[in-house]
Amino acid sequence: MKYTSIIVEDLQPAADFLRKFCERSGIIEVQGQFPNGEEALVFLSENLVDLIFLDVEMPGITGFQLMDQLVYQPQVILTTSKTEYAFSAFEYNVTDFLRKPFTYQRFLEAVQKVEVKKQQEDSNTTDHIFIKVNGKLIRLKNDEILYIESMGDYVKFVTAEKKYITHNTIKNLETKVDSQKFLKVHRSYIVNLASIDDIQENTLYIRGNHIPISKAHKSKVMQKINII
Amino acid sequence: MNKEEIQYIYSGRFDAAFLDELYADDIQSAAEIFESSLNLIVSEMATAEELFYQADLESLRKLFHKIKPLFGYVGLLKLQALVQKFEDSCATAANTEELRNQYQELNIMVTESVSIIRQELIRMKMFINVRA
Repeated sequence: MKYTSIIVEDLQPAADFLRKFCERSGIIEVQGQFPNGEEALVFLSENLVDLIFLDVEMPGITGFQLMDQLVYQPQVILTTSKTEYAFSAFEYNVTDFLRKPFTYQRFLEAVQKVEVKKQQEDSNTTDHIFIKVNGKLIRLKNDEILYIESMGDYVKFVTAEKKYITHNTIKNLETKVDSQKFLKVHRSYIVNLASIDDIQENTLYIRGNHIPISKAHKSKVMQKINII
Repeated sequence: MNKEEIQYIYSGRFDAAFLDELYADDIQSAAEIFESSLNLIVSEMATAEELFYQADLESLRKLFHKIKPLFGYVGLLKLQALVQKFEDSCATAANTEELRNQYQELNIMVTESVSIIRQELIRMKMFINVRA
């Protein structure tokens, strides 16, 4: 499998060095290289990547502030020259922490962690989920769920028969639902790919419901659906 | 002997084992990183001088934090450790007077390192030309 990535690094030789390792690995595709967090966020608002190589101290926002502003959760490998950030890295649940300069062997170890984490995410999925509604845990089969809609601090699970409102967020659910079946198409919507009836430009339709597709998620939607 | 089989040997002042780990036998990439690191060290040290005399300790700390790994990319690990020490001192010093001696010593060492990195880069380019 190939992983899409970006490099966020203000030190040009360090970014070039890392890009060479990515190319050498054959499994990390670098889609962009940014000297600060602000430019990276602009890119990430319109593109989805699997992995971010992220420096911590840069001009403008820090790597941690960038992670706070992400609207989805790609894996992150922190690249820094300061070990003091290790504790914060742990709190942010980053995949690995590379101290510059690092060897190719150490880089490969980090890439292996990316693969393991991805496999764990994929294998954690079951054919159903439980949601808490009015003090009860209700079992919903993945196939029953048409889509999930954000309602501030709550989300609405929509099935063909009923709607369930529960305390949760789309950002949290994004990592919990089966990524093979469900896809976030907008910051307020996760849809069951199998329930999509049709797509017209930036809107998809599920049983008469109009669901917007954001610019950031459009390419991923088009990749996931089976276009002949 | 096949020209491609000739191995580059780094000069004694560099941590050759570490450089071999970083670049393996890709001397072309090593030379590119040496060159970009060298250019950046030279330009950033000129900025450091201004910051020191402006007594802007936080900007000075950030600058040394930024350039610190460059000494690692060129295999000068002891110098990288000294830059780390100076970066830490910038965070705790009350004023630049406290740092004057440490700064001047570091400045001399970095200036020397610029010279040896430049010489090594010439050697690397010659090697690349000969091998080609």
